Amino acid sequence: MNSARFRPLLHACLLLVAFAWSITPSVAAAQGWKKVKAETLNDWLEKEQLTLVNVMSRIECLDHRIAGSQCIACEEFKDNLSSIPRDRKLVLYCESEACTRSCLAADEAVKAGMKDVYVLEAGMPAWKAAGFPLESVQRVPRMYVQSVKAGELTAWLDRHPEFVVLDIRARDRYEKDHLKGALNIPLYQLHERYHELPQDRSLMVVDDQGFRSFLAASYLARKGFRVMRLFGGMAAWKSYSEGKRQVK
Amino acid sequence: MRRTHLSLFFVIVLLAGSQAPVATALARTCQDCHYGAAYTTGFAASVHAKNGCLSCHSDITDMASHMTGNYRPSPVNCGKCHAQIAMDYQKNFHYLQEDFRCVDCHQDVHTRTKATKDIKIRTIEKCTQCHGNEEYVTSGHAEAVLKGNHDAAACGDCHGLHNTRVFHTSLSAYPEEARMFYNEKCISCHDDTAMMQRNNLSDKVVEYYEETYHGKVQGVGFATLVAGCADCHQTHNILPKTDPRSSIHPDNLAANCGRCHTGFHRRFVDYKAHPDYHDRHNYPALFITFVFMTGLLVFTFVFFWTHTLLWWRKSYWEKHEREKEGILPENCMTDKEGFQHVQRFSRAERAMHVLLILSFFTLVTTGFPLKYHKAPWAKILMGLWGGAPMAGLFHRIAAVVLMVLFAVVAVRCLLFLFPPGLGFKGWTDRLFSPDSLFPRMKDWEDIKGMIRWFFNKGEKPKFDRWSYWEKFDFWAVFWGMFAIGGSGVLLWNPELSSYIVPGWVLNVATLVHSEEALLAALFIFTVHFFNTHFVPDKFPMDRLIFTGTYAIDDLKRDRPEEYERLMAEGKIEELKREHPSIPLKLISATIGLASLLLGLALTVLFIWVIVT
Amino acid sequence: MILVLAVTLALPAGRSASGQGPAVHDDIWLRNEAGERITPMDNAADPYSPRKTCGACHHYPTIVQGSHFRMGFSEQKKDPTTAHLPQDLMPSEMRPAPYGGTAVYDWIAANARLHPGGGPMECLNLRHDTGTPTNLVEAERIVSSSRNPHFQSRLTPDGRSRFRASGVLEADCLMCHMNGYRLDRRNAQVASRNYRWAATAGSGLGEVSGRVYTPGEGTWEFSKGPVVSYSWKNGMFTPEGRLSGRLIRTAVPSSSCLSCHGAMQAFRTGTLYRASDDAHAQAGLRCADCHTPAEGAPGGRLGHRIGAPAAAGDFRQTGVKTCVACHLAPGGRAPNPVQTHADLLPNATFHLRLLACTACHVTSLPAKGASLLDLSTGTPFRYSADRFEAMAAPADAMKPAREPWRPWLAILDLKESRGERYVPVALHTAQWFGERTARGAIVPLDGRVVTGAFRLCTGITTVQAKDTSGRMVKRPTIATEADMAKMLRALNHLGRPHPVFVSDKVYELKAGKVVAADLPFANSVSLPVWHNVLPVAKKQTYGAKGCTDCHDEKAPFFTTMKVKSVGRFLKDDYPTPKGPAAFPQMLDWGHEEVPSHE
Repeated sequence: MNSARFRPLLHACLLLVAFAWSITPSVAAAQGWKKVKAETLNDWLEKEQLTLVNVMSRIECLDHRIAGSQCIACEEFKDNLSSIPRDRKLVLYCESEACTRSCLAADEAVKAGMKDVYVLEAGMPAWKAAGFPLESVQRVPRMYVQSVKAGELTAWLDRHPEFVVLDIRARDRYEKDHLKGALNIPLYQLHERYHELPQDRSLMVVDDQGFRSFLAASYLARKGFRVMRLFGGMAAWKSYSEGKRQVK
Repeated sequence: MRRTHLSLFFVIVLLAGSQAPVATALARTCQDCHYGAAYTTGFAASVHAKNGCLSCHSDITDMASHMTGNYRPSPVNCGKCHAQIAMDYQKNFHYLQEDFRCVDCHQDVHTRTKATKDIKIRTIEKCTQCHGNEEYVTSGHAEAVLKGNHDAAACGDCHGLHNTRVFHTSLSAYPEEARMFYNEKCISCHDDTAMMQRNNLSDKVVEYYEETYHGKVQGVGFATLVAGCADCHQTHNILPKTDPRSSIHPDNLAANCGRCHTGFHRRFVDYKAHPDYHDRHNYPALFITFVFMTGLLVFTFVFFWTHTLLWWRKSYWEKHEREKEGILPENCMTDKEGFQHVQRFSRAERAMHVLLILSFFTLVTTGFPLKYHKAPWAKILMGLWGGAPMAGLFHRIAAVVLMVLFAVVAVRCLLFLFPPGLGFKGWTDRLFSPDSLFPRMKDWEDIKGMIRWFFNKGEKPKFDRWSYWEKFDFWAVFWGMFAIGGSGVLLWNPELSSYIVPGWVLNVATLVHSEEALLAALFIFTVHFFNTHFVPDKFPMDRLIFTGTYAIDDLKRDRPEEYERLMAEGKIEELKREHPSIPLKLISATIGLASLLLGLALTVLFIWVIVT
Repeated sequence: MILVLAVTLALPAGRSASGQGPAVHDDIWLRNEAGERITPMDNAADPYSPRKTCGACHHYPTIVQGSHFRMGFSEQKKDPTTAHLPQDLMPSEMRPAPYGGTAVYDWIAANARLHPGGGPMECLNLRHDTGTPTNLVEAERIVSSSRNPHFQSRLTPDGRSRFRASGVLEADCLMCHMNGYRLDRRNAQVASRNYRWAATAGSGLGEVSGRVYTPGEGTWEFSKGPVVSYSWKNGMFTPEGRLSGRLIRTAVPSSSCLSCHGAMQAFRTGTLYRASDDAHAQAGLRCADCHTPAEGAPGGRLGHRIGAPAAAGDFRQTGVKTCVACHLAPGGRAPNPVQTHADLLPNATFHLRLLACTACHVTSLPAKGASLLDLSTGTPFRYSADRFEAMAAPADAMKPAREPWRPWLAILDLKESRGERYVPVALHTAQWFGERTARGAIVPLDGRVVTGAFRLCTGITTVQAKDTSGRMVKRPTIATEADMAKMLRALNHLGRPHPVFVSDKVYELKAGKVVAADLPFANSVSLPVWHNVLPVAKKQTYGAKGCTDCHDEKAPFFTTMKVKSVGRFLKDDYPTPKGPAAFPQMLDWGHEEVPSHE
């Protein structure tokens, strides 16, 4: 075998490999953070030290979280970045992927220069569906909270003037669009500001998708408020008010 | 000594007995602090009464630590005993999204008594504590449950008791899963014969639904495109159609159908969603149609399959004799004139036949998966077409082709009967001429002759240009086009059709279209294929229709009277053609054999479905 | 060996049986009404709930069986139309619910300053097995009718109670079991209808901002509830937010008891619990050393049955330690007086059987106290016990007397036929207007009615009296028959058909003239004095100077005057009582003259 003949070929191969190698990390680096599956996270928790942060509100985090998590609400994440150690993996999670994306907690972490930032793929539902346990530090016992469907909301509020709408979404989302007369206390502040709510009126709790309002309503019911909630949240309201049909 | 030992023994026993557990420096039981009625009298009367507090709250081992609040007990794991429920619950939406635990619904866990006959009522009471759904409470199901009926659906029967999924909350967010879920749930009870009979309900409703277009498309796997049970009957407020609040009450049907259909006349709602075509009283038109179509099919196939069988027998026996004696028709051909080819079919006719084959197969393969949607091959075939919508498109394209062919043939017939120049003069002569496809006395004679020949009672009749079975093929298709084409056009766009005909006509149209299709397909694939290609004389295939020409000897043998006539009129010369080229022969063979094989395969599939 | 075994096994049992508990209370989490922890991060605006906090370990239902907590149930239901004597005579007693039914919401605000919480301040008085929630907030929630008498209010805009906004007053453990409890702050919360927040404010654990009701303006705020701001860093809490256990006193200090009972006792009996005036205080005894919770009753010591000695009579049932328990019983740790008395007194046994210890040993009371109550013009005018000075308010009773005064003496019937004893008493007498009921009984008239009648009269006697600061004040009073006649006629005019005037006799109009009749009941209250036993060194005990301390015409033991006719006394004999408005107290005992000591 005359190796000289093969040398250009070898160089070409090496070049190709090098190129491939180089572009892969940069593709990942463009996004900055990576996704991690529930099973993988479970392995990591058993084997190594990492920082696990639950970016839901404090009420939700103390009600159910993966054992060993910290509770830093998404909206307050940027301010609390300095308290997170940089020498180990950082895993963020909440009830889905959308919330870490929406308030950009993971992006903030990457921007601040953290190296190993992960987001739990599909969030806590994936962790639960995989059968792993959660811990409850301060459980909010759920109360029987009745709900009103989007199609009936206007009529209901007209018939029951003692109700006032409480919007527990983040401030910016509230300001973009909210129901008439709605008060706004974002859920991550609710445990500090609930006494601003009127005691002599009933509350209609409204959130984004309808997944968080039940817990918020139960919390407020324990504080002595009379509560109901909007089934499906603002998403249901929007699709009702835009007249979406049910099929096709 | 003994006495001392004895008293020592007693002392030890006494003192050991008086030794209270370590943690009761305060001498407490759970109920001393947790003194509510739920934990004392309530618990003692509950189903868990035989378990102590610690059997569930097993992590509270250090009483002092618990009482001072230094140890926070963790939530009880009910799955320790209720393992199956816990496993089901892992998939529950309430757990995955809302993080409910057992005790959040079962708030009465300490006082809960055993659920027996009233489990459905309790389920309803429990779910409605958060989910209003007043409309359920007025429905037929609820009324039955609350009266103690154990068959009727309560919340858990449709939504799942512990494994409640998310998609049924939103038809708009999860259209496919939701509709398939609903349908599966409704069918699970309404297809159960025993249950339906117990409750004086029709046990065939599901079957009849599946006979309709909605059911067929849903059955072949495209549930999102058509109405499922819940689309018409709604989900919670399922009421009989006599109730003015019901979504299927005649007054409400327009709005109900209007959730998917737009631009229809109000007659549209006369469409029957799952009619019983055996019911003469309620659905007379459908019943008559059913009887007629079934009769037609039965009669046609009985006659022609008998005819085919007898023909085959005669033909095969004859061939066998000839083979035995070493005589084959080809050996009789000696002169060159014998295998000179003459034309039987013009280019136009050959092209039209190919188009006919293509469109026919398209129609059959796009249509039959709907008709026999339950068959395993139905979904495969639909998938090959790219899904039901694509199949529908091609079906309609092929139908248009067929209609164009029909129109062309009709025009040609008219031109044959009323040629330019002659007009109406002598059209009856032309009608009954040997070149006409119209039946005449000779055909009747031929039928009688063939039957005699089948039974060795006579010679094979001598045929002119068109044999009676070719005429039947022509007329069957011609007539069939009215039935199948007419019904197909009505079904093409049901909303537009409602401006012409009332909705129930579409039920009839579906039945006609469906049965006529079976008639046509099966006839073509069995009788036509036999008559033309599988008859032992011609086996495996007669490529005449593709090449358009055949040898004069074949003409002499198969159509002797035509031969005589042509020779007498001296028209043979102008019909002489070149022997078909190799490419033509190959194309013919390919198209022909492919069609034959495909047809046979489809026949096997259809017969299989019909028989099982 | 058996002994060794017994001892070793008994030792742990012995330690636990003493029941004293750990030396310092554990640091505990405060809990809110729902039982949730209050930490700097969570629920930090919620008031703490004694029932959920203390009651988490100490059985709350047993504790509120105690008389302090159950007090008020019977007073709530008392029919004001069957009262014998005017309520104002004993201002520290709880008033009946004034509205005929029990409009508890307002009644709590009026009477809670006399009550530690729990009992009627928290619950309806139902049996626990009726299934009806007893807690007032829960009961209010299920009440559908606005006419339910339990849940009305005179002051709220819609006439309905507001327990949901106000909460209830739970038994406030720290009121007693803490040093430095601020009763005034707690009562301010009660007046603002901030029932739920009262315990938090009183204990000083946090500041409460916001009020349900503003008494000065009469406005209600139902929308925003009051908010607590805990003083996490003031040393009462551990760094993580637990309440520091060293604040909690198992041994209740005297200051706790005196915060309510101090003023009450001064008013009733002129006693002050000070070392200079009381030998027991001087010896370092706390209230709780003698007023112990009865152990024999169900619930034991936790049942907080701290008996009211005046009510019982048999001290053995109430857990109250009497003189006998320490001074006479075997094993008592106080000096035994049997020998001393035998030496000092002739007929010692006779005297010991006839006289209560306090009869001789309680001879001077340091506080002004109260003695006379003049309701004759509708406005309560009080006069102190030491020198009948005009009091501006009941609180004047706590002021130190110019000179300590001697108590009166009365005969107390002991229960269970154990005879009778002479005891020192503080005498409370009144004159007042009442009316006869259909059955002929006499009930006091409401002060507003009498004031209305007084305004219609002219020429009512005015008297001058010295007030507590030494100035002379003028006060109108009904002193003469003419005054009585005018008032009785005025009351007739106001629609009272059978008015009566009660002082030394019952006076009423018969055919336009005032006639007198004997009193059908005693128009005075004699409250035994059990405290302020003088230190013997002061040598003021009766008999210290010999028999003539008592057995003498001039000795006050037999001859102290009792005022019977208040008005006449004020007009004619003020400030030194003499006949016929007053007479010597020995007449009540059946003695016409001072018995000789021979």
